Amino acid sequence: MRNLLWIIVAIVFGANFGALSALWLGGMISGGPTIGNAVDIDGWRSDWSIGSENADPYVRARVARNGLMGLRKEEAVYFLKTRDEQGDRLSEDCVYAVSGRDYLANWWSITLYDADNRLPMNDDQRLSFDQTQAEAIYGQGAWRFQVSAAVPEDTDTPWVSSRAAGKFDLTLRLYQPSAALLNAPDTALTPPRIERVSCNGEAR
Amino acid sequence: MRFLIPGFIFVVTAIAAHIFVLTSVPSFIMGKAHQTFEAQGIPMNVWVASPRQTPETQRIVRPSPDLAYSICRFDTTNGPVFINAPLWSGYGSLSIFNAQTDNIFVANLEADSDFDGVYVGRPAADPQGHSVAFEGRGIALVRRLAPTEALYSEAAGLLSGATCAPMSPD
Repeated sequence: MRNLLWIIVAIVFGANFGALSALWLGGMISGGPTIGNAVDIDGWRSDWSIGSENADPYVRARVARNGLMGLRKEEAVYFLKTRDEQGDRLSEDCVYAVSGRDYLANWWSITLYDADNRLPMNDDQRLSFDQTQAEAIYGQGAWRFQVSAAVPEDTDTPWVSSRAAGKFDLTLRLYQPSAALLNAPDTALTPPRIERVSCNGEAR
Repeated sequence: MRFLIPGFIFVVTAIAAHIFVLTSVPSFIMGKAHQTFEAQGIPMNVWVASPRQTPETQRIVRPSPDLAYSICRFDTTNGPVFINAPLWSGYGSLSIFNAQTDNIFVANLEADSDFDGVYVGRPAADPQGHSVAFEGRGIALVRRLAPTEALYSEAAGLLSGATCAPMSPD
């Protein structure tokens, strides 16, 4: 009788442990992994198997949860970063200067998402910064924009709003990336820098 | 020795549950997506333009606010489906996803593309080769670069020239 009890306990705990560990590693539980981490360039993380039939079950589950209907790498690659250059979590309490240059892709964009993988619930209509804006403001080459919860003091500064975003991430999309970028992302891609300017109104 | 058998059962059960849950997640979420779209009035075999992506209108995770999305739910159970969409002046693509969330097909919709539609079914629905082997329910998604309200309206207006219908190849 006691042995039977132990077997039942083993089944119950085993099933729960197996299921919860799968949900955690599959990105289904808040705080778990987001998309894949196979490519990591200065903290911008991606996985070339997103959208592919060859994706392992962990990547496939994470994409289903955090990026449903993501495209395969020949059409688009996705990089996600949750921390600034100092290594601190991106937060709506802080102001950031994001800068970069052109990429080896047909079109790119950087979008801000909250911890629930949603566009933040604000009505600022400043949700992303993309190649068309960069070229319109800066022409070809280097670009820069601000991420903050309030309108920049210099109203000419391009701005992405983090109001109501809490802890957030920035997602870089590169559509129709070049073969060079896909083959050697470490050397072909210089990802955007996210410099923290201030937090709660005080310079850091 | 007393805990050997329960320990073994724990490990086996944990592995089985882990694999079952992990492999069920994609099809479960895709099934929920179909249900959600259906509840929102998106029927099968009809292209529907999503509203411009804002915090209030977002229906899927991580939408791009710079893109105009159009979606078609389809089912090849009773035969192949022909899917096509007009080209676009900026970045554009037509992609197809199966029940496992795999992106099994993608076509360029930019102005210089020669894409003129694809048959989706089994096995090769179109002898010309413009086909994708597919079984069951899927989702086709058009993305068009439309960062302004004017471009979004223009993109949404292209749906009248799009096709997502059961059809036999010529």
